[in-house]
Amino acid sequence: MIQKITIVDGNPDSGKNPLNSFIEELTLALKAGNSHVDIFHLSEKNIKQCIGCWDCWWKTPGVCRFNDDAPETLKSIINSDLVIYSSPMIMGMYSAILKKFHDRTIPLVHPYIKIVEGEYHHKKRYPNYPKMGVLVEPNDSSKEELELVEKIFSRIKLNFHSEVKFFYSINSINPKQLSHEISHL
Amino acid sequence: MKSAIFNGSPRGNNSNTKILLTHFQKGLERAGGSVTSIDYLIQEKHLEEQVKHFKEAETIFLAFPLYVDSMPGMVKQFIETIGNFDGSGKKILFLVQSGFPEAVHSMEVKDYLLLLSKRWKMECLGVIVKPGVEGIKIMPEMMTRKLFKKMEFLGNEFVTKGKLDEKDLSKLSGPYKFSKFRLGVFGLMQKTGISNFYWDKNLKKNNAFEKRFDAPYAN
Ligand SMILES: Cc1cc2nc3c(=O)[nH]c(=O)nc-3n(C[C@H](O)[C@H](O)[C@H](O)COP(=O)(O)O)c2cc1C
Repeated sequence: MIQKITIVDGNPDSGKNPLNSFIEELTLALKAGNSHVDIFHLSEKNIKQCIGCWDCWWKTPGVCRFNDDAPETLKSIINSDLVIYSSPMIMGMYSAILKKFHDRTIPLVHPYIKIVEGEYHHKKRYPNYPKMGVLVEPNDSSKEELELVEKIFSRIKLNFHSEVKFFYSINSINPKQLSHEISHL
Repeated sequence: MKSAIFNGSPRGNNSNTKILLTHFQKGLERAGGSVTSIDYLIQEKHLEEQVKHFKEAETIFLAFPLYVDSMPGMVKQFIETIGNFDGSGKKILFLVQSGFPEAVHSMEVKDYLLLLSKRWKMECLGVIVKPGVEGIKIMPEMMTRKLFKKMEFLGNEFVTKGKLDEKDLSKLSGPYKFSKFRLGVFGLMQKTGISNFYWDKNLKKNNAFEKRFDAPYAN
């Protein structure tokens, strides 16, 4: 059952817009259904670019050298049943601030390799990983670009020992429906 | 052919991306091409100049490591800064190199780069995909020599043919996935120069070996 949910909001625009309203309503609906929801608005956070130093794998296992706002977000994610990534489509892809955050998620896995679905992937660091959901605001993106982003998330889930439970454009579902769907996951 | 190079590795000057680019550039220059600028996107203080180089370039070469199944966040940032720029008449070339040994991990980002070229209305001359690169600094010279020669060959071909041959690109990127037979720890070492032993050696050097399975964020 989904009890704890982390929403990682990758909208660089914190003003009034359809994606932000959707997330706000979704959060209310989920809370009304007694889920615990933590929400991180990346636009208000300081998330440094990963510099590929491997400190989080071979010096301070599981912990990044940068003590900015990424660690608290990772802590929330790894203790959740579901993580929802939301982003507007910008230049045919999710936002740079969400991408920068994703680069910082590697402390959650282990450097050791194992074979998953006939491919190389990293071993788990934690016993459990949250399921994933994705919400995008399509903007000027093409069907092909949206499909590609969905495919990228189904690769990310392999590296993070997870499953993608939903991938929605905010134009194809409303917050109440989605909240209902989540309560049945 | 005049090219502006953009290195999208967060490791900048110490990157594997740089090593591969250097060999490509050698081949390119030997064939009579020239490189007009090399920008390191990690140096954000030079953003204005980077954008200028991008917009004025005849041919753009954007190279980066695969990060979490896509481009590093800073490269996406740069793409957003350029925005829906009309690059009609310009040409673009990409390099995506990665840690895991199979090309399968880079296929989505490759397709994205093709769509991005369309957005910019640029002719894409090729997407070079090279998996299994993280170990190049510790691999025996025998292994890297071949790779560097291939990069040099591509640099040469780029100038002489004006684009990269799909056949040469797929030779470089290797198999999409490995057969069951080729998988396994031994294969891993052969393919990447990196095995669990490599991580263990560094964990020990940092006195962190006993802590390697730490799960610091578990409640
Ligand atoms: C944060 C991070 C994420 C990475 N993600 C991937 C990945 O998803 N797939 C992969 O094959 N390699 C991945 N790598 C490995 C790099 O692509 C590889 O080490 C590359 O050679 C680094 O090149 P550079 O030195 O030019 O930065 C990742 C490395 C880092 C630091």
